[in-house]
Amino acid sequence: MVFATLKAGLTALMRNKRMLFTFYAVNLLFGLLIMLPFRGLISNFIGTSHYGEILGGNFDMNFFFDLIREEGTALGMLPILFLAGVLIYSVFNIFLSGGAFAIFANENQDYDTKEFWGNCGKYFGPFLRLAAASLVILIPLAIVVGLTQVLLNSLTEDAYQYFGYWASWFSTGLRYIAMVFFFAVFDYARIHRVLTDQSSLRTGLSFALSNFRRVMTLSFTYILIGVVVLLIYNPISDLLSMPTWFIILSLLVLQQLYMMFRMALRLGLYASEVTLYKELGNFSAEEMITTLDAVDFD
Amino acid sequence: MLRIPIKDLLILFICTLIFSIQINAQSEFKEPPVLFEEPLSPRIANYDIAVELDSDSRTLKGKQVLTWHNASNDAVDELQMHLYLNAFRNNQSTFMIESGGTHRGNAIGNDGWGYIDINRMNVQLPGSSDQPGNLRQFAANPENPWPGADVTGDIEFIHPDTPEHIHDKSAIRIPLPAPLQPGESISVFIDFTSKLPSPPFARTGSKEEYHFVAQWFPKVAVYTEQGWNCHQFHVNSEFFADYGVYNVWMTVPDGNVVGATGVEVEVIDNPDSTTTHYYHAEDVHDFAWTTSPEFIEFTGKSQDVDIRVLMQPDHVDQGPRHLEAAKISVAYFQDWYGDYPFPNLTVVDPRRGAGGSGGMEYPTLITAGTTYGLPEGIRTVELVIIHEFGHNYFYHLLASNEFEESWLDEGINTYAEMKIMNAEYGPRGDMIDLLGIKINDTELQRGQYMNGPDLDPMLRNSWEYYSRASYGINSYAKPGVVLTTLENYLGADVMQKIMRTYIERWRFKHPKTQDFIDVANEVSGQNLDWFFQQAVYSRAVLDYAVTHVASKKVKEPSGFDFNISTRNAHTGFMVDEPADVMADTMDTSVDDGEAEYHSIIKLRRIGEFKMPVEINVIFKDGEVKQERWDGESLWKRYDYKTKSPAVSAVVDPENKLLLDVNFTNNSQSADSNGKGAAKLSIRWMFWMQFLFDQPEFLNLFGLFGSLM
Ligand SMILES: [Zn+2]
Repeated sequence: MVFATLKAGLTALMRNKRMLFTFYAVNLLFGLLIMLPFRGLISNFIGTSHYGEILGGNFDMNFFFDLIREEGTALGMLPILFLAGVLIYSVFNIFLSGGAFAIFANENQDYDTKEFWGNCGKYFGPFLRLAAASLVILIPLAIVVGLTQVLLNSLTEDAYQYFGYWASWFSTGLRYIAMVFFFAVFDYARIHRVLTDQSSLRTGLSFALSNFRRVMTLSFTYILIGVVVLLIYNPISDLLSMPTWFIILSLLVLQQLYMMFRMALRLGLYASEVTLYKELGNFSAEEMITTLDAVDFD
Repeated sequence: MLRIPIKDLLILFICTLIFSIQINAQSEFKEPPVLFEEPLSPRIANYDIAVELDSDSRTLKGKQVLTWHNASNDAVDELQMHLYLNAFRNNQSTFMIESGGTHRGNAIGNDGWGYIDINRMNVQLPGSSDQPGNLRQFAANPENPWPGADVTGDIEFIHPDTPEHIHDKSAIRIPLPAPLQPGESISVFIDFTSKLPSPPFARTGSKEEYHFVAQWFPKVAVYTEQGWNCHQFHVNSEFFADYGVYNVWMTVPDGNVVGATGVEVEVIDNPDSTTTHYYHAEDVHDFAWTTSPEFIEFTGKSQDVDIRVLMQPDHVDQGPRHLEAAKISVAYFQDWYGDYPFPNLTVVDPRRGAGGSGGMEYPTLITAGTTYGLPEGIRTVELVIIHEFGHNYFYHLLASNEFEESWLDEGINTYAEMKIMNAEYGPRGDMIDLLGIKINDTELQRGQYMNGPDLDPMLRNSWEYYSRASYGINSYAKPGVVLTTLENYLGADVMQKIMRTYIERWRFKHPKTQDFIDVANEVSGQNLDWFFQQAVYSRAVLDYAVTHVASKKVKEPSGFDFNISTRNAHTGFMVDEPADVMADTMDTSVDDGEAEYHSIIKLRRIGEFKMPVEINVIFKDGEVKQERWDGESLWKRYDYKTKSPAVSAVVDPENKLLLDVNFTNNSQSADSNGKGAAKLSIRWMFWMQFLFDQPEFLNLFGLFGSLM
């Protein structure tokens, strides 16, 4: 079942390379925007120092401490910049997702510029409202995660440290699952909206809950692929440590290839989710929920 | 004829009986072994202590006989002693007022106060009519009559450092019934009760069935040429004490494992489900011990030192790692810095929740600290063991006054630790080597130092630093950085010899800062006062910078006497002079017919700290000119007239002056090189792109936080 949706996702992705570039371009744009102040700070601090050459190779802790000592205040602004970036980036992503879901919801799934941007605009408002509403889901999720954390803390408070150690992994995993679930609900709610033009948060939630195993398997399959590729990316990027412009450019290319791959994974997930949703319920939300158990896709 | 005097016989019989009881009582306690035929130290403060631990109430009941020798030239009319545990008695102690209830990130528990009370104290001066009491017997048998004069009522709390802390009870004075003459010894008989803080706080305390028992008994202060040197227990301070012989009987619940300063002489099974462990130590100046039913023991040997590691059950997989680190420490220190004369070393792994007792040194006994799952690439275990074993040289063998000159112990030791970490685990990533991140201890110490390089001079009374951070920087990181800078200045061999000579010469003699400086001057064969004056006694900061690198083509000479004649100047007409007139006034360093450059390099000494420094000036054709500047003036200018222009200059090209608080400004090029900024920027950009797309990955940072 998941394999079928993966395949469908891949097929849809191949027919929508333009969409992939659009998503990647936005990601790159934000990367560039947040890079510029950082670069300004760093280049200004390095000036014509030999660190200009040295840091072209490996990172240098002495430089790092110099930077903290001299530019600590400016560095302190970076996390704030990052948080603002995440927020604005999410809004852009919500905007683009309207076009993406609409195209993937089509019978032929072919990219059409006008249709894509049209739907981006069409669904932006509803999706933003949906995003705001979906924050409500975070409350019970946070309560579940928080209570588990409290319970684990009290159980492992004076227990041998391996309990605490594995409890930390467990609660991190749980937090991660909760976040992935939250994103899935938001995805399916958007898909429902695109497919039926009806208000959709509850439907998305019901769908994700009643198909919890499949929904999460699908999400985690994509996450896993991303992690595996990251694990391949990392040692290669470590190899690219020579302080030459060619190596630095190669690193940049490698990084951007990885990011493009990540965007492909995001769109692949969207397409697969649309497929899953369509397969599991072609009708109205109410009918879909009541007929779910009768449908067998394995 | 033989007359049998029944009465006399009866008396003889009773006497024999009493004598034999005494013998029995004595024979319950084995004679202590002799560790050193010749005393290594002046044995001034000698202790026999019998102590019983009540694990549930974390209470110690102790009987102590202190034999204190007056090695001074004064007649001493009072004793001064430390009652360190009273630092944790309430929130009005000097320690608590200064600390606000926290120490190294640990907070004292709400019901965790600890204390020490002297229930009774007798002093016995020489020539007293009392029998010179069998000290060990007294300590072991509380029923024995108390020898000497009862001075319990005369004990007075003193506050020499901060008189306003009137509720502090961490230091006392005891007026003597008569002065103790030079060369005489006094016996002090004490009955005391201690309660350990919980969880362990500031090095000592209990957590459930685990006890780390340190600063736990009434401890005599040091009598110096200036009189008694007895300080209250401060948050920013460790200790100062005289050497002696210790015999300690520790009674703990059956089944408990015990680790302690010194060597175990015997283990006595008592009828009341307790066991007494008798430890003996010679030429030590403190005694700490630990007990827990859960310790798992690892043993090994490094050179001539027996090593015993006591691990917690949840860290048992790290036992070999601890043992290995201890072996490495012993080997490096003995090879580099001379003999560790003691037969053994015990490494204690604190229980979970008892981190307050971690990372501390006592004679022949040190504590480390780890967590389950600590990756091999994070070498905190190795660092702490190397550091704490190092203290067995600077704190134990040398025993400087840590109240007043903390850098002599913590600081010189940090320098040694940095060197050993790099020699064993370097050259890159000796401290952290994980996921491609490589960080050296030296880099971290420099980073630490740069948090506040000028808060205080390095040398101060430990309670008088500007802040706890300043005490930390000036006692640990800064001396590490200072001595590394000195090593780079003198060369590693000379520095090694200084360290070795200092340790050899000052063993058991409580050296002071000037003693270290004297050894450095003598061994290096040069007067280094200028260095120590700045590094130790001032707060001067070292920062050299290259501020100007420029090259210009040497201009064709022009103007009057070159291409204008003064004769025609008033008319404004220009007259070319013959070439030979120009030649007389030209710089002789200029070669004819080649492109010539005038390069100017300027350096500034931004900080107050002056130290000779090397400079490399690099020319376009690859030539490197090496200069040396004494750093005395505020700035220095170098001019070169050469065929090839200077393209860059570096002051201190090998980063030898680790004290320099800004390495980035140490170099300048004529042109900027954007590679470094580009590399950092694209790495930053990549991770931002990544996290924008999936901010949920930040979740993992929380995991690392909770595991550390
Ligand atoms: Zn230390």
